[in-house]
Amino acid sequence: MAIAATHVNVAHLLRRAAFGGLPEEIEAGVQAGVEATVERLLDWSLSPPDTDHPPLPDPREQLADPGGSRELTLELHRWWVNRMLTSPAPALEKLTLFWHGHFATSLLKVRVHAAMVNQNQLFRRAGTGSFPELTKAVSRDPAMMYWLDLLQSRAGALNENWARELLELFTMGQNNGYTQADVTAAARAFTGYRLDPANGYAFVFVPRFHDGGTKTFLGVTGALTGDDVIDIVMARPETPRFVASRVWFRYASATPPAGVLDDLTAAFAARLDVTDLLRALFTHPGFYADAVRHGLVGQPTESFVRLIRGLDVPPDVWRPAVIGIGFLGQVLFAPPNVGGWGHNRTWLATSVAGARAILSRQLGVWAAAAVQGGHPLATHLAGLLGQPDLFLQTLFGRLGAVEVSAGTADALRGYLADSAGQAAPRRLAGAIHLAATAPEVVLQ
Amino acid sequence: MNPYSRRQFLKTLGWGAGAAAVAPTTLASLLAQAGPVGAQVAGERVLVLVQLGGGNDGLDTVVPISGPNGSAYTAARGALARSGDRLLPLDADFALASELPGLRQWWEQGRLAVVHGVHHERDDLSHFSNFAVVWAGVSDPVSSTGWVGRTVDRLAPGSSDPTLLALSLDGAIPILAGAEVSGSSVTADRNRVFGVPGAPADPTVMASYRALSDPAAGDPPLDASARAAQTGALHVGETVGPYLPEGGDDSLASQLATVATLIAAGLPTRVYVVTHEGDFDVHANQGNRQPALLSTLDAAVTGFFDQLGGAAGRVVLATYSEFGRRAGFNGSGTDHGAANVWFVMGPAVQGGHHGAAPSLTDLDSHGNLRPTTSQQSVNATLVGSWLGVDPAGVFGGGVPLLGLL
Repeated sequence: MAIAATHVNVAHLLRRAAFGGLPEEIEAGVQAGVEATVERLLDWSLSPPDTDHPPLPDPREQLADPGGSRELTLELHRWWVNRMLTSPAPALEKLTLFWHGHFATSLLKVRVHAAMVNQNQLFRRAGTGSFPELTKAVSRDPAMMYWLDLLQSRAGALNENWARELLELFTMGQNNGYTQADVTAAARAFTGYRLDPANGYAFVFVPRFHDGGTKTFLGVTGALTGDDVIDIVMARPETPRFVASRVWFRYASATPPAGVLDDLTAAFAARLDVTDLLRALFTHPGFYADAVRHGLVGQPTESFVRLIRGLDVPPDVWRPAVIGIGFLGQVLFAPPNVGGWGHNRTWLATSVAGARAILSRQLGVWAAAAVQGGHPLATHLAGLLGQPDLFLQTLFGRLGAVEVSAGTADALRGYLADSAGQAAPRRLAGAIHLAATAPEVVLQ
Repeated sequence: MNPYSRRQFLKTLGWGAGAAAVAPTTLASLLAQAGPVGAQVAGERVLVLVQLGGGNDGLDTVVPISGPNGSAYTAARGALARSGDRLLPLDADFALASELPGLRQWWEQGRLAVVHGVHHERDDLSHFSNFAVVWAGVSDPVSSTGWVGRTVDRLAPGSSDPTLLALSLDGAIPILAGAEVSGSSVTADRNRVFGVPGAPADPTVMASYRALSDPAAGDPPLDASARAAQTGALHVGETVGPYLPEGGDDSLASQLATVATLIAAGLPTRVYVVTHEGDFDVHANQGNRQPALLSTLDAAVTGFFDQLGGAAGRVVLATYSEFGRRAGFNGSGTDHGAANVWFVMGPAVQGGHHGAAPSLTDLDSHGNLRPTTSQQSVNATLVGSWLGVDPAGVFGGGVPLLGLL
């Protein structure tokens, strides 16, 4: 069943799969059709190498001086946001952001920026294929091992943190087919995982810390290792269903219709391949339902990237302002806890709405100055102010909103009428301030 | 009033940096000014909730020092067990961790309640479901409302400004979500974005901003929520914004200092929610981490009441955490547990022990302390006996109240 290649559907696909489409990108998608647009989005080979991150301190230095470098954290924000803005494979950056929220790990405990960058690169490298292989790689990821205390765990003095979150948050879902006894058995299987300071803190298995005894995990008995536990988990039907539901939660809406989740689960369970799941999602009619198109509030990172890209804000202006994402309540590399960031209502809290209003106003202030500086898009928009309907269609189109509600349009037309005697840069600033806080732009 | 140019507004007011300096006072004189427990409280009663995120270790906060519980504690905690000058005895049976000298003074004045064995009946050890239950105030963690939000729903009809009835100083927390009206949230003030300080808002823009934020017919639910969020932000920004500190200090002490300022300013807020900036999830390195967490707590809450001065009698402060921690020491710290110790303090509080202390010689199958007191009882008491809202409407009927107030 083909999905109709309307502007509404293509704009929705580009906003969810990536960070939104500019008008010409939406037009290209309409011409090519939804399936072809999906295949281009899933072409991971288009992604540039990710070794161009800022220079990182030696882990030993950072461990010795855990004061933390706020500026380095901001530099890493700029590095990643730049990839979201400019990569020919933005869907891979969106997927990397998804894994970062799924296997949520925070710099605030890990303290070593190199470890967080290493984990980010792992998600980009291994996040598109085999989910079992990704999970095994995450179990050996230095940042994750430190974050969930796997480095502490040993035979006779178990630390269950990693084992619990592996089952509860990363694979099967809370209390969904396992018991506390299984958590303990899994924790025993994962003992002995360490990092080797003499080898750049790379993963090393240390047998003398490993509990090599017999365990029973999800009904399977043996001298189980960590990889065995992951294999057993991956063979359970709960796993593809839970992971598919989490992908829906972040890409589509809060709750999938049961039939849709069945379809996505079946597609994913065939090979436990992430690209299979994404393709099934982006080509499913349920993904394009009204409730789904109005079903997600943009995460701060998504909103920031869409605004910067849509208004063509230059790097020397957006780079210092990347801290705005944190003000909106999302600090990259530092999710609030292992459950990841909030969802929908979280981003509509008064504190977030207030920060968004400030950010939107400041974008307007920039745009006014940009008109005077001859910025092409700002100048073009200012020139359209004499034609309110065309101006609004163009502005909202740049901000990714193909459809604008009557309520929003009336408020903006009212502003344009009330401000008619003012100079164009000032009017443009006000219009951007307003448009960037409209529901059509706040929703993803 | 312009909410988006706090720096200019504050300069106009002649506002200095940070909270007003407070004349030093002894706890005894503070309590004398507030009057005895049960005295008529002039002015609206305020509840301040302090969230200790990560699962505070009740056993490393209020320590059993006598009898079978005391011996079992020493045996279970091994190298982590406190003794000697790491303890501040409350009586023959319990001691506070030595990092809590301020709370110990409150205990001696009879205004610190130690509530033992607090938990709920869900039997899992997950931060997320336990937080969800703590916030919801009912056993179902999938509740879409929080108990503070449901309390606000019931205070709203009598209030001229329902949006401000409950306020979080550390961003949005689900405990604030109500069915009709939700609590509001702010974070430490940061108004420098794009390297440009806040410019005065254009009145033409602000008029349209209000129009844009007004409910619109035909809005799908999330769109409607997005508009409502902007309206709420506008109002909270105009009212609370001028009192937020410059500089973005997220600490508990700073949040409580702001609460004291807002109370003094006469805001209609009845419930404040603040968050301790530390992580109480001490699976590892507890010996170093727990003392620092408790020191910060002690200084912040006692400093808060000092700052309140004459208004202290109107305020009850209560701590909560999503669960306690296991009796046994894992070699570096402790793992997720169940029953916990919660504090309730204030000039109006009946100090002393409340609830039965769990037995350390009769642990559950996970090695956790068995609950004796439901979280609902504590919260219902705060809602019913202090805020004057019928707890049955918030928690359901039949929740036994404690003699805290």
